[in-house]
Amino acid sequence: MNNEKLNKFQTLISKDVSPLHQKMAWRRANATWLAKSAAIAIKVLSTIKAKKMSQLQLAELMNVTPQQVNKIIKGEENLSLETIVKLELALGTQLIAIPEYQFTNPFVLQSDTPFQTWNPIQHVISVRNQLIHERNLSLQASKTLTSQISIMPNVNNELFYPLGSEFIQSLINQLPKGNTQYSMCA
Amino acid sequence: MKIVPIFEPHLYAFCHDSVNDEFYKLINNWLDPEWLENFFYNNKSVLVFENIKLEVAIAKTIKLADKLYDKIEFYQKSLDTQFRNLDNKSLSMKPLEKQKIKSGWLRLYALRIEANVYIITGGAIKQSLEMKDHPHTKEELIKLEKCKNYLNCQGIHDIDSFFELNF
Repeated sequence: MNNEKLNKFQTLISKDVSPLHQKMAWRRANATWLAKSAAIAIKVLSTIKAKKMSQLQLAELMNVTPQQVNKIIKGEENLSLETIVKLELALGTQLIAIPEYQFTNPFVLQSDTPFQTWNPIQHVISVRNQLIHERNLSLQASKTLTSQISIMPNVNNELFYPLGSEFIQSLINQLPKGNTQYSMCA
Repeated sequence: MKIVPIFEPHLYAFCHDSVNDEFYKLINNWLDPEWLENFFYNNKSVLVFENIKLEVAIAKTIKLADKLYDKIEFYQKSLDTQFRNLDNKSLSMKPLEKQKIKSGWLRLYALRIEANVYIITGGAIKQSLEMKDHPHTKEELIKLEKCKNYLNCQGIHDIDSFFELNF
């Protein structure tokens, strides 16, 4: 470009600064959670459309301002757990889930005192039957005084499920307590 | 009308409404789930053509928009390698050529001032082979002409000023 044309072109260039760079620098710095915020926004939008719900109605159900709902669906809000749960309750749908830790290897149920006055295996079996009859567990324990029982899913059973932490806790909750403290380890 | 620097001295963008430049407006829309939902809901041909659901299209467009900005920033000194003639069938480059850059189905339209110097005039989510066939991209063609005429009126002419580009 010759000097005359270059000068002409440069006189046309504004001194304004595009807000784009600041926005994109911010997006880069927050890329990890922005992806989840966008995914939640997309899910919220599709859900309110399916339920023929307005943003105003959603705001009322959540007890927040319409402006807050509008920010959420823009997909750039760092949402608190409280807000996410409010959304889930208002929409009647799960937005995020925490995978349940699952035991696939045997875990050991321990008691701080030896199992001596009651038969732990029978008790665990009854609890198992009570709670999850479709699961099949193998129990191993010494016939003598013991403070440990190994409990494992029966991998040979076609209805094998890995043991979830929720099940394990339910199991412990239903064992006789007294002064006995139980714990588990994988 | 204003010309706002984006990656000076290589990339600029027209500002038609004296509020925000075209590049910022485009990227902002393409990152906005609400805007995108409205767009794809009213332009289902993209979903049909790509055989994807609305939610997937929205998520994909947001990712494309982030990547498009990164790509332009990376290639800002060699934009000639990225922009191509608006007319896919033409290999010869004309001065002050209408150029476009591709990133998936996102389209940026620009005027080429000289080697590796472009001014973005607008953009669109591509829906058909020919720009003239779709109302949205038709609007972009009109904007391109308007911007070209503006530069001509300001004494920036294609003759002797701009080089042919081929990519």
